[in-house]
Amino acid sequence: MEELKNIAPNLHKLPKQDAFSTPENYFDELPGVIQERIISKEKKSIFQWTLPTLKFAIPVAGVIVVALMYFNKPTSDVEQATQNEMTAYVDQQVDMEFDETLLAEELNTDNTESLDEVSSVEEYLLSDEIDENLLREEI
Amino acid sequence: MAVHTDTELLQMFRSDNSSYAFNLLVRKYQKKIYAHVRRIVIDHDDANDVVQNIFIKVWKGLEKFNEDSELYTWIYRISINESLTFLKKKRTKFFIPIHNIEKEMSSKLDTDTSFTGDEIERKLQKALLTLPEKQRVVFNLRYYDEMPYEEMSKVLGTSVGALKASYHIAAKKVEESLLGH
Repeated sequence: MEELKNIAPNLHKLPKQDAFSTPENYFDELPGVIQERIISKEKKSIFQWTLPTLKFAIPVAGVIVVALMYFNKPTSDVEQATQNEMTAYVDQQVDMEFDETLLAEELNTDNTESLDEVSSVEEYLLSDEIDENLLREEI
Repeated sequence: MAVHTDTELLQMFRSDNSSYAFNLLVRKYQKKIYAHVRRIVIDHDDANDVVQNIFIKVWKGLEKFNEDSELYTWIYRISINESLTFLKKKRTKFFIPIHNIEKEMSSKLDTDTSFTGDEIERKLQKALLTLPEKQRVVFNLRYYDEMPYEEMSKVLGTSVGALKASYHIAAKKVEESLLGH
């Protein structure tokens, strides 16, 4: 420290002293104290970070799960089929299951039933059981 | 115990031995850092708090330390910042005007049983307390730690010329105080 010689000769002459003492074993214990503080701080910071985050994370996760379930619900085979596939399927089913004879019988049966209904109405109207006086009152 | 180089400590820290390496790092630097902090804050309990906070910050920052600067330069920078922040907080906490905290520390030098220096050393420490904080830091780094100006420049982010000027002024003031002016 030659530079002090000219600037501050008295200071230059002074012997340098370590004038501040520490408690006994201070430097033996300090590394352990620091490590303990680091560990407790890390535990605290994890706890402080986790709780408030969970308060928000749980409802948000719930909303996300519900939204995913809604938008990704399983689609049926019919919905997944293309238009062409559906047309082909219908054509095939019609060819296989459509029986014209059966249809004709069905139509005849239906007509007969409806004709029978008409006849029964006519019979009713022509029957003597109608009370003409009552009918007039109603009209 | 063998003293490891900073490079070795960093390599060890980045392998699986981070806690062990950090412990070695604390043991390597604790005395220097404590002495530096104690000269700034004077009281042992205050110095103890500040030193612990410094090493906790070192632990937190060590993972991201990119070796642009020397490890010890970086630790010194943290030490100075923490020490000055401590004094600033003390002033804000107790609403103490700037000169009173130095008066308080000066009185502490008279009563503190852990101050083991002689009368001239006490006078020197009291003279240092009359300097502006940053001038005091420059003086301590140069006079006690004998840090080269180039290193000081890296620690404090100030030019070598400005540091030389600052040390010159500080030394002159201390000399005058020692002579009783």
